[in-house]
Amino acid sequence: MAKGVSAGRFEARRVVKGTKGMARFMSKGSRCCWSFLVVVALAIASGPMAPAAPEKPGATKEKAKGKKKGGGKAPEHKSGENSPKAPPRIKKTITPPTITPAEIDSLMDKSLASSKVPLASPTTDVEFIRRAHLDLTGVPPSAEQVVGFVRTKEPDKRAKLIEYLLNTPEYSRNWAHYWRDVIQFHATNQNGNQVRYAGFEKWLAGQLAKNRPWDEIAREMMTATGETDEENAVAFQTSHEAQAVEMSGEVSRVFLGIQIQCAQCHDHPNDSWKREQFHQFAAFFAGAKIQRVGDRKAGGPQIFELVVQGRPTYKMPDKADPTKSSPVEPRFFLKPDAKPLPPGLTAEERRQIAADYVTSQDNPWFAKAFVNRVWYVLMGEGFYSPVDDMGPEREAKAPEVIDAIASQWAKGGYDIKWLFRTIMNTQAYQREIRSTYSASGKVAFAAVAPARLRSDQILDSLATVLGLPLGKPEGGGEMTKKGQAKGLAADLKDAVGKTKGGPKGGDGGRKLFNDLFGVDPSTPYDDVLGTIPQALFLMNSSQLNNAMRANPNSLLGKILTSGPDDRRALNMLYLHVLAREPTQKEIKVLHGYIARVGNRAEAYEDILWSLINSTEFITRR
Amino acid sequence: MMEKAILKVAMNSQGVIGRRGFLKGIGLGAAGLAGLSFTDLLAVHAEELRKKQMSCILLWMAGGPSQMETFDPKPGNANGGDTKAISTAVPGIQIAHGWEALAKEMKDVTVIRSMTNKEGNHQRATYQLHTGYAPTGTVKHPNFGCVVANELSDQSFDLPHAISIGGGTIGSGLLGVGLEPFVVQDPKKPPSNVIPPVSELRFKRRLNLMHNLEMSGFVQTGGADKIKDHTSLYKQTADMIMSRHMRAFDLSSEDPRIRAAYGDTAFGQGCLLARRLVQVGATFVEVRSNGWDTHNELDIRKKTEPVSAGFGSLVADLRSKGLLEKTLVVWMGEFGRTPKISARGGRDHFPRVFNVALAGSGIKGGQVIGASSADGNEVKDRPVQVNDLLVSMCHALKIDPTKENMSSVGRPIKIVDGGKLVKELFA
Repeated sequence: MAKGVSAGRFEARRVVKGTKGMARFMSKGSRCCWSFLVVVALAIASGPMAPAAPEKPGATKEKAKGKKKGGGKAPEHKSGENSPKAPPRIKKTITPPTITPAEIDSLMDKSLASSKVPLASPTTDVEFIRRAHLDLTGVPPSAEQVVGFVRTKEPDKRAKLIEYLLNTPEYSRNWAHYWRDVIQFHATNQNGNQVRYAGFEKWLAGQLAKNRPWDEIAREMMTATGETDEENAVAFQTSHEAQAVEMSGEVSRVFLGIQIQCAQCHDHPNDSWKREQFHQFAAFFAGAKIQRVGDRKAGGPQIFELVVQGRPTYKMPDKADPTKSSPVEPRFFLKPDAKPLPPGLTAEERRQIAADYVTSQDNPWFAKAFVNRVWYVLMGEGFYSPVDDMGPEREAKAPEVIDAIASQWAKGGYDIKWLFRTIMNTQAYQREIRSTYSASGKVAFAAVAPARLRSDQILDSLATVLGLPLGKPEGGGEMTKKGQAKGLAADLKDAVGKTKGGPKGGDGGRKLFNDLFGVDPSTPYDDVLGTIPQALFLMNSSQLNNAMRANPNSLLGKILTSGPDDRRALNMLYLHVLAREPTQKEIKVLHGYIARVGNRAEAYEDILWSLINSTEFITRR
Repeated sequence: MMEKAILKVAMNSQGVIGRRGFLKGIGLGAAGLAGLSFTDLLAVHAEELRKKQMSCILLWMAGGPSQMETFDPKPGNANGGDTKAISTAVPGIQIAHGWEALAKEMKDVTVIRSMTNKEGNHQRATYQLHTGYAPTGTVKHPNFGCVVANELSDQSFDLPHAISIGGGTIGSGLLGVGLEPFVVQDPKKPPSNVIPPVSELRFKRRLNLMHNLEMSGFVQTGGADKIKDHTSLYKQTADMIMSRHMRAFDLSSEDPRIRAAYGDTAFGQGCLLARRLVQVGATFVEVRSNGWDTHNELDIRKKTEPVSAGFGSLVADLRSKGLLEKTLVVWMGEFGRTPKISARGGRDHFPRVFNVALAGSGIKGGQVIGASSADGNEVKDRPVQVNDLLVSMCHALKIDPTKENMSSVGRPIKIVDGGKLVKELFA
C-alpha cells in the first residue's frame, strides 16, 4: 500500500494554509475540549529558501546529495568554528560522583520514615538474580546460573553480578530495545523505509556497549544526518519526518520528560508553558527534511536520507488569524532569561545549540528525566509518573533522592553504567516486591513494585526456556532451525495481522512478536494490561505447544528421562521456567495433579503450559 | 452521589478497560464535574442504545480507490478513460461498470461524490479517515469503529466488540487494549490461535491447574494484583474460545446460496463473516480490500467485482434479515485518484475529490450527494469534509460526536472535532 512519496505524483501539501486546513491541525494539537475556539499553531519552516550566505567552515557540512559511507555522524560542534555570531557552548566538566549506594539508602530511609510502613525484606539470592538479569540483559538467568549464584559464598557476589551483566552484549541490546520502543510508540511516520529501527538499535547498542555518555548519545539523536538504511541515530528524527513541531515535542518529552507540546496550540492549561515558548523551541529544529537517495534498486527498498540545510525561518501562526504567521527566533523554554540568539543561524547551528541547551549540565531536567526512567524500570515505581510527564511543575516522590542522584550523575558526565551500578547496589533496589493490595505496598520505594516484562523480555524468556530458534541474541543464530522459526513467525503473523511492512531480515520473528506484545515503555505499569490475542498466542500457538511437548530432545523430555523422582523433576522445571524452586504448597498441588492425570508426560506438559501462561512468567519480581 | 454517577458512566462505557482509566477520570476535579450532568444523561442514553444492538461495518479500500472507476464515472470526458457508466436500480444514478451487483441494491445505497480532504500520504490519510485526526506523537486516537464499540457494545457479549477482517487496522488507542480490533486474517479459516491444541477437557484442566498454582505460589509473594488482572484476561479469553458465538466464524454452516452470492473471494466471504458477526452481537467490523493504489492500471475489474458482489450481497442480506436498519455500512478508502490519467496509464493520489458510499442505519438510500466537475478536478457542489462524514456516521449510530474521551495524560479528545452533519443523508 505504501509506496512512499514520488516526484510527479499528486501529494497533499504538508504545509497547510488557510482555514480549511485548520480543522486538521486543530485536532492534532488540541489539548482541551474548548480548543474548538482556539486557533491553532501552524509551523512553516522554510529551509532552503533562506538567502544563501557564504558557508563558514564547519557550518553546514552535509551536502544535499553528498552520499558518504559510514554516514550518520553528527557533525562535531566546535564553538568558534560556526557563524561567528553563535554563542559559545557551555563547557562540560567532569567531577566523579561521590554518592554511594549506602548514602542513597540513608536519604531514602529518611524519606520513608514519615510513612511508618515496614520496609520489605531484602530479596533472596534467587529473587535477586532473576531481577538483575532481566533488568540488565532482558533475558532470565538459566537454571545453572541460578544454582551457581546461590552456591557462591563471596559476600560481594551481588555487586560482582551487576558488574558482570553490565558488560554483556545483552545489556546494550536490551536497553537499545527499550529506547527503540520509547521512540517507536510515538512515531508519526509509518514509512518503514524512512524509519529503520534495526539500524537505530544497532547504533544505540554500540554506544551503550562502550558506555558513551548519555549527553553525547542524546545529542547525536537530535542532530544526526545521513541515510536511513545505515547504522545511525537518524530514526529519532525521521520517525517524525524531521518536522520541527513534532521534534520540539519529542525532544522535550524524551530527553527532558516535559510535555511542552501541549502548548503547541495555546498556552498550557495546567502548566505555565506559553504557546510562544513551544514555537521558540520548535524553531531550533527548522530546516531538516527527508529526501530520496537515488532510484530504488530492483527488489530493494527505497533509500532516504535526512538532510539539514540552509538558514531557516520558522514561523508561528497567528492565534486570531491562522492565515497570518510571524517569524519566531529560537529560544529554550527552560532558559527564558538567556540572551537572545543572533538572527540568521544555519539549521545545523540551531540544532547544535538546541542540543547544547538540552544536554547542558546546568539543565537539571536532562539528568532527572534519564534517572527517573532508569529508576522506574529498576524499582517498578518512579519518582515521577508517567516518566514522560514531569518537569518543574510536577511533584516528585522522595525528591531529595532523585535530586541527589541526578545532580551527581550530571556532574559526573552522564555515565550510564555508573547509574545502573549505583542504583542496583542499593538496599532499595534489592528489596522484595509487594502487591499494592497491602497498605504498605502502596508506599513507593518501601518495596519494589512488580511489573510486566516488556515484549522483548517475554520473547527472550520464551526463547530461553523453550529453546526456540527465535530471539537468540544477534541475528546470526536465529534462523538456524529454519522450519521452526518460520512456523512461529507464521503463527505470529496470523495473530498480528500485518498486511504490509512485514518482517525484514533475520529479526522478522522478533518484529512480529513485538507487534503482538509491544507496549509503550512510557506508559505507567498500572495501565499495561494484556490483550486477548496475546493470551491466545501463549495458550494455543501450535509452535509453542510443540515446544512444550515431552519429546526426547525437548526441555521436558530431558527432565523426565533424568529420573523418576518428581520432586527433583519439578525443581528442575521450576528453575528453568521461573528461575526458582516450587514452594511446599505448590508441590502439594503438583503431586496431586500428577497423580490425578495418571500419565506422567501429559501431566508435566500441562504443568509446563501452566507455568508459561502464568502471571509470574511475564512479571518482573 | 455524584461520584456514584461517574462510576456508573465509567463502567458502562469502558467495561473491560476498567478501573484504572476511570479512576483517572475522577481525579479531574473541576473539569470533570463541569460535564457531569451531561455525561450522566449520556450514560442512560447509551444503555438504551446498547439494547438496540446497533452496529457498524466499514468496507475499507486500502490504497485509495479511484472515484472514476467506482461511483463517479466520467464517460465521454478525456479524464474518464475507458470506464463506462452503468445504470442502477435507481433511475438517473449511474456508477462505473464492474459494479453491477451493487447497482441492483442502489435503492438502499447513497453515494457522496464531493468528499474533499488535503492529505495525500497513505499512512496519514488512513489514520485520518479512521480517526478524524491527523497522527501526532502525543495522542493515539482511536479507530472510529472502536469508539462505536465503546459507545454501543453490549458488555455481556463474549467475543471481541471490534473485529478487523483481512488484516490489521488502526487500533483502539486511548480507549485501551480492551477495544483493540481483533484481527481475522482469512475469513475462510478460524482466527489464529482460537483452537486449543489439546482437548477441551484438558484445556480446562490446564486453566485450573494454572489458577491453583498461582493461588498457592505467586499470590503470596507480592503478585496478587498482577494475578488478578491476568486471571481476568485469561477468563475473558477462555470464555471467548468456548463461546457459542464462535460458530459465527464457521462460514460452512451458512446457506450455500447466500454464501455463493457474496462471491468466493476473501473480501466477499469477509463481508459474509461481518454480517454473521454483527448478527450475533459484534458492534464494529472492518472488512479490508487491498490493492487500490492503482498508479499503473485502470482496468480494475478484478478488484471491483469481488467488492461489488460482497458489498451488494451484504446490503441485500442485512435487509432480508431485518438488520439493515440498525447496521451502518460505509464503503471508503483513504483518498481518491487523480482525474488525469498518468503516463503510466494509472491514476495517482488525489484527496481533493473522492467518493464514499453509505447504507443502512437510517441512511436514505438511492441518492447521490454532491458532485465533482465535468473533468473531475474540483468539487462542483456540496463539499463534504472528513469530519462532516464522521459526524454524520455518529448521527446514524446515535452517538454524540462531541463526547470526550481521556488521553493517557488527561487530555480530553472529542469523538469528532468539529464537522457538520450532512443532513441530506437522512430521510
